[in-house]
Amino acid sequence: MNDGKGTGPLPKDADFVALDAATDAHARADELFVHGALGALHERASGAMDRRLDRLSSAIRQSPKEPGRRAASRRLRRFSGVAIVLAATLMTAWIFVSVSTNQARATLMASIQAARGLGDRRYEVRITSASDQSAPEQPEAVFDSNGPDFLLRVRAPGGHTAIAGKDSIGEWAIRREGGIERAEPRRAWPRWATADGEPIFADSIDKLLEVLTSGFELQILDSETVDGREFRRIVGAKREGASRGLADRVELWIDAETMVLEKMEMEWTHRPGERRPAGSADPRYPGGPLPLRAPERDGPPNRPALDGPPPPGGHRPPPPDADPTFRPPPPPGFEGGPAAARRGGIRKLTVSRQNAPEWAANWFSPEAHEDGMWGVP
Amino acid sequence: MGHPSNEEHLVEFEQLARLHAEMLSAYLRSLLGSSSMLDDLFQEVLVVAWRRMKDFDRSRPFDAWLRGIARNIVMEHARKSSLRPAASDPRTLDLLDARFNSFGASLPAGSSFSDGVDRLLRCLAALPAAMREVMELAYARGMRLKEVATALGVEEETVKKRVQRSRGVLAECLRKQESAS
Repeated sequence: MNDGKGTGPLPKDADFVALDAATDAHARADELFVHGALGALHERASGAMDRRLDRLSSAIRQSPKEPGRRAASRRLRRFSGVAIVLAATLMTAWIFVSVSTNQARATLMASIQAARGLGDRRYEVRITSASDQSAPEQPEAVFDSNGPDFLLRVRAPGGHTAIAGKDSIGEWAIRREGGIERAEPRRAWPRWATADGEPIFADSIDKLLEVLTSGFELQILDSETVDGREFRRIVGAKREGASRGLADRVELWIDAETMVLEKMEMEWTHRPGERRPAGSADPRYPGGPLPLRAPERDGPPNRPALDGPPPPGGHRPPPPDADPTFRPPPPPGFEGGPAAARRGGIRKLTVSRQNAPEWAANWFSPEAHEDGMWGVP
Repeated sequence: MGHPSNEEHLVEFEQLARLHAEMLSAYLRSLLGSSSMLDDLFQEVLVVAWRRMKDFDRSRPFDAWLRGIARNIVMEHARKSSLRPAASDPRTLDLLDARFNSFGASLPAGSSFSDGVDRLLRCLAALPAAMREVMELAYARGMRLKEVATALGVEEETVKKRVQRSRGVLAECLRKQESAS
């Protein structure tokens, strides 16, 4: 279709309502204005704007900063990544910085160094959506690392496996269509870290510190000893006014001896942009309202604060190759887009440390994962 | 104290973005004619705005600056991709910008675009029933013309004409309200 005014064919698959080609430019502009305003008016109930703004909040915190900080940010980003362990370690660092003295800070920095020098490490990420009754058995993602090298594998929508990592050459990703992407690997990074528009992990040190520093009110709980191991427990509640994408609550278990993060849970108990109940009166059409569409997602139930989930020690599963629930996904491929839509959004995200198996020498090289398969070390 | 921190800049920008979000959404929808790329472009516009905040003349209206960025980005996409905006000829674009400007200028001090859009509620309520019905199906329910036609048991062309007439009536109603204000 051509509108006869040089605007070209109009989208066929959208909700566009065609303009009358016979109208003059003034009338067309008027009509387009009303079209836009009506759209804005009617999307109020959908929560779409809240989601956009949450997504924006996440995006601009990842984008280059204003002058004066840009170069520093770039440098920081160069040496950082969307590294779960690093993020978690830094979270630990910030927590202790916030609640402890300078001496504690120095101790903590030493513990971070110690954690970095641990050698092979593996963390699993499980995401519980609002519609799930319990955490899934299979991890959504597995993060392996050794020093600066890491490998992140994510079960992406459609049965694909998103694979990205870093080796001695630099960051890389496996393209969805196959092949190794080194020029712009971040474009191929799985974005479950902002699944459903809600940031879960930061992608840079500066951002993480900014967010966490202002994000949570923290409290140290009593230590717990499990199987002879002592864990320091820290709980954080999102501060009022903090970014709405942040989890409402965070809880960490840290090995008191090694100071390594063993487990971290993030919980979302409230979701922005809740809609009016389906079928409720639509004040925009007082003359004869029709029921609105049912909400596309429901807010999660308000969950009571955790009163002490099982500590991580003693719950480490065997390595994946011995775990019958740990199966490689069927097809090779890469899903670089957002994570699969989760009904109701994310309710809880759990990061837990696992025993790292013996890895092949080239485990962190893209060539070892070029087939796009989950892989079994 | 020294200069505002980056976090303070971020907070200030987020407040501005929130204040003008509905206007930007409406403007993009007007430009595009559809909502198919709205989310991505909305984000792109505001990310670019954030990066260019140092260039923003704070004595000028932020909404007009934002629309300028949006217009450039949409036209850039139109040049480089298959995106076909509903408004792409300079004349219509200029008039559309002028329409947003005049609408904003008609609002009482301290009011936002969102407050002004509320005027549409009164205009919608004043529509004849047949028009109001088709507008609700097309906009509130997001139905395509064909679906509206099926739902109402009329020809698609009838729905199209009715929607066009309704938008014209609403445009006139809005202008009258602006004049009255």
